[in-house]
Amino acid sequence: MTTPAPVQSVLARYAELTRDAMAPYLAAGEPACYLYDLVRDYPARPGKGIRPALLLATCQAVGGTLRAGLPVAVAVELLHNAFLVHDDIEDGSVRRRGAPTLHRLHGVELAINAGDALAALALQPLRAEPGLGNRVSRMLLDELSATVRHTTEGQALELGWRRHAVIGLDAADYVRMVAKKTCWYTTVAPLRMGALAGSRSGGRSAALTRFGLHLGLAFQVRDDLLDLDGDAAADKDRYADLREGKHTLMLIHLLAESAPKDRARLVEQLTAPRPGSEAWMLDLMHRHGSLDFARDFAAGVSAAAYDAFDEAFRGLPESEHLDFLRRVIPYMVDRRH
Amino acid sequence: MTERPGLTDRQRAAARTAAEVFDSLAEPPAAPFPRDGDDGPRAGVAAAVGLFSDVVQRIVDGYAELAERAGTVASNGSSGAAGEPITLYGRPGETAAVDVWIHNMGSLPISAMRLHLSALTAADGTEPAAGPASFEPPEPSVGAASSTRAVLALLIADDCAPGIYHGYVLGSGEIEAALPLHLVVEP
Repeated sequence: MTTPAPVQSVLARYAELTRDAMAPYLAAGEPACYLYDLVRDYPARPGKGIRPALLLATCQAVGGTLRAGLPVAVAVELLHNAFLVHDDIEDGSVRRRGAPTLHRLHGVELAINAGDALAALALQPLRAEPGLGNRVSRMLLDELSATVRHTTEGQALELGWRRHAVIGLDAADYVRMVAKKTCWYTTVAPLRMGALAGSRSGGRSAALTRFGLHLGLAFQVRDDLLDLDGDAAADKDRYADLREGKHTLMLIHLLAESAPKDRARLVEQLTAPRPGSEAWMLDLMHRHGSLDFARDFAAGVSAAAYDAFDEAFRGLPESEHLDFLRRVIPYMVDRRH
Repeated sequence: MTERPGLTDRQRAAARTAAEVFDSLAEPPAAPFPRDGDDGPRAGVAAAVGLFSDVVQRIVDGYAELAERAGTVASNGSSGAAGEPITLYGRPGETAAVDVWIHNMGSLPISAMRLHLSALTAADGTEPAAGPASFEPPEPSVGAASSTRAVLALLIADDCAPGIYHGYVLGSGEIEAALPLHLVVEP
């Protein structure tokens, strides 16, 4: 029996295929130094490749071809890059994929504009690919449109909570926010759109949504934890979530568990973040078991993801693609980057 | 939800919390953004017209999809089912040839379909010393509910390594099709 390729190498292969297929949509134009060079920047920086891999593997697992899935993967990846550009500005992030963020390199105004262009470019592969057919193209455009809606709703929740230093949240609030902000465009949409491109039908969409929500939630909790991990955050801005007062699962747990005095200082930190408070917040999280709480949360959700997986892909023949999708579940909670 | 063994109480509680929230998130509407419901009679008429045009569009698309699926490229003697590979046999120095059938089961004629042979590779990534490929006729047309064929010819060079090479016959024009092809170079 052949040993399956490690999840990371499959992710890298799909990411490379998608980057290659993306090239024609990122063709040079003018003004290059103010727009098209910026538009090409983030897509050229290798990311984890989770979105294209989920999409292309699902497309093939339901009987479609790589060729059918690639333009759809390009659309999702372009939209992801558009979100990243604007996200980095909203969060004041300084690094992205091992290099300075786009707005640090070129200024906020040009970066916002480049993000807008990337979002518009994301529509092109779905409109221009004749192999998809009109009906499927329109269904995919609806999916992309709904993804923008969910993601912006989730981002609005997170930004609003930060703006008003909202406390008194619980794990269910966090799940609701992450489902919208992260899950939809990271896991749910790639799974649904991959199945749509591969089978030309939305028959599995509800079950795929449920699987994607579990998978995306496990991914986000792990992402929150990795922000606090020195090695893993090497290509990111370590402790950025603490500095920005992001409502991670650990912070929500800490706010609920900490003593009134610490809680008051935390609220102060959320209202007017002070540099240098990260070590204190991290120490407090350790003392209150907030990191262990988050790890347990991810473990519980990923265990439930197996049931959702079985439901989503019921009746399909075993294949390397299905096997890969199953192996993505533990990867989401064990990954180091 | 199945209660998985081996989980701690806290892990089980996490799974339950997630499941409850996910249950509350009903299947989203396909419509992009919510709209104010008080749009007046003009909007109602526009919505009705839009719905009607969508129904018409879907009917047209349905026929187009059928035509897309009906127009398939197939090798000689095959049933025409998508995915069945064309097999091309030959020895180094020979010109291998095979019939490629185009079955149009749709109700519209297909004119001037352009046929191409994709790049070929063996399982280990090597490419055969072969080519160029030609199709005769180069741009076949096929009437509604009928079939036609084109002959694919490929020159295998003297120094081509024996083995099986994989690629596709691609058809483009009013319909698009891709059929797997095996080139078997015999020693």
